Amino acid sequence: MSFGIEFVPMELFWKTTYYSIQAEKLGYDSVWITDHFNNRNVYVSLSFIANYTDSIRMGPGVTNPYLVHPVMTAQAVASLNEVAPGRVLCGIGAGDRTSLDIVGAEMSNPVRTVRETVEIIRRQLAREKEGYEGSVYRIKPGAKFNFKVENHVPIYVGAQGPRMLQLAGGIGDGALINASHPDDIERAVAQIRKGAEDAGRRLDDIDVAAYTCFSVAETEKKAKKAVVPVVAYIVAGSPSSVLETFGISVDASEGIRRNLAERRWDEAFGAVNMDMIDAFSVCGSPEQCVDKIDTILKKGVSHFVTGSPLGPDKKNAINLFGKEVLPLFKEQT
Amino acid sequence: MEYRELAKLIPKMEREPFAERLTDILLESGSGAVPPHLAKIILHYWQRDQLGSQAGLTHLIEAMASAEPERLAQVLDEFKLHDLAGAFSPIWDKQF
Repeated sequence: MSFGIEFVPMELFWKTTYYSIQAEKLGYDSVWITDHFNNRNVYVSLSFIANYTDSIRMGPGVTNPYLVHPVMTAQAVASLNEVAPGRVLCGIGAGDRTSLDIVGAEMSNPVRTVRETVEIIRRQLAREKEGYEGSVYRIKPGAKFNFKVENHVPIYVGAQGPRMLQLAGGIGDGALINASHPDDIERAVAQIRKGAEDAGRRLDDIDVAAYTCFSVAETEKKAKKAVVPVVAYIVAGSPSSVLETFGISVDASEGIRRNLAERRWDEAFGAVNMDMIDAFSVCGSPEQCVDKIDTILKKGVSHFVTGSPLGPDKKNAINLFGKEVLPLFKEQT
Repeated sequence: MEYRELAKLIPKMEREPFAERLTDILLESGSGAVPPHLAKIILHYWQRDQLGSQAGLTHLIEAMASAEPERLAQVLDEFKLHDLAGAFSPIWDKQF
């Protein structure tokens, strides 16, 4: 069982690195840095973290092929491997449609694109001389690194929909399930298993990670307050099929979306109710988080990632999780 | 007085909580408040669990004096380090 932490590099590099060192000290296994054009660069963040840590594994969580060509992602993770040998992970996904729209990048054929991206990253890391002929990408023979990559870099496919989850099961070293509710995660694991079996693999061959919206604090009230803004964005961005699963009305979602778009934060966040928080986050006191994580792990997950916002106070949340939650699960394994 | 000399004045018993308090404030400080060279030194000592050492404190105090001088004065007050605060009087005449 592994435990990871996600950071959105909105803060200065040294602060994200400080928290990553803290996570390493407390026994977290992985640190994931998000990749959005409007935040600090993911690989500069990771390089900084690599320089000040010794054992924690790290990677983009996730980058996407629409803004960064797969050969450049391969180059970045291969280079990072020189700074943190054997500790690099690579999370790849289709990206966030809203962010892509802003910069005019079209999310076309996402499953095919991510599949080819994984194949290209692997061939680049292996320094294959042969060309690559895909339906999305074409790489001429001889397009290879002029340096050697000594370590295996596991590739994790970030996924939410059934086809992408199956792809993760079919070709990923790992899967990053973008969900927080045990029922959602159970459905996702079933899809990953199907993808794996269709490809002649077993679920055990894949590191299945629940990549959750997470918040922990001394009290449930504080933890929930911190998670509300993130849940508001999740509700606003969720398709009606997902909302209906949790009994959340499309009207409520549209109302939140409209208020967020018009920057009416009080109205948007005020419309987030307990059902939404329960559906789209893991949050509460340390004891409550232990119970929720325990339920999630029983759904076939081998890696639990605490994603944004982590809690009302980042340093305190990392300490609470590292001291009061994580050890209980590490003892079991 | 140099920051290293000031760090020496902090009683050993107080060093760890004092370093923790300064770190919390620096983590809350605004963009660009902590000079990058000091941020890297702080990370170096944090990785080695030595922010509470004399050397670690020297750099934390220097970073605070640069990024959050008023709050450093408050923390010195909290920890009843009035002598140390006095050593900073050229900076904080207003507070003391």
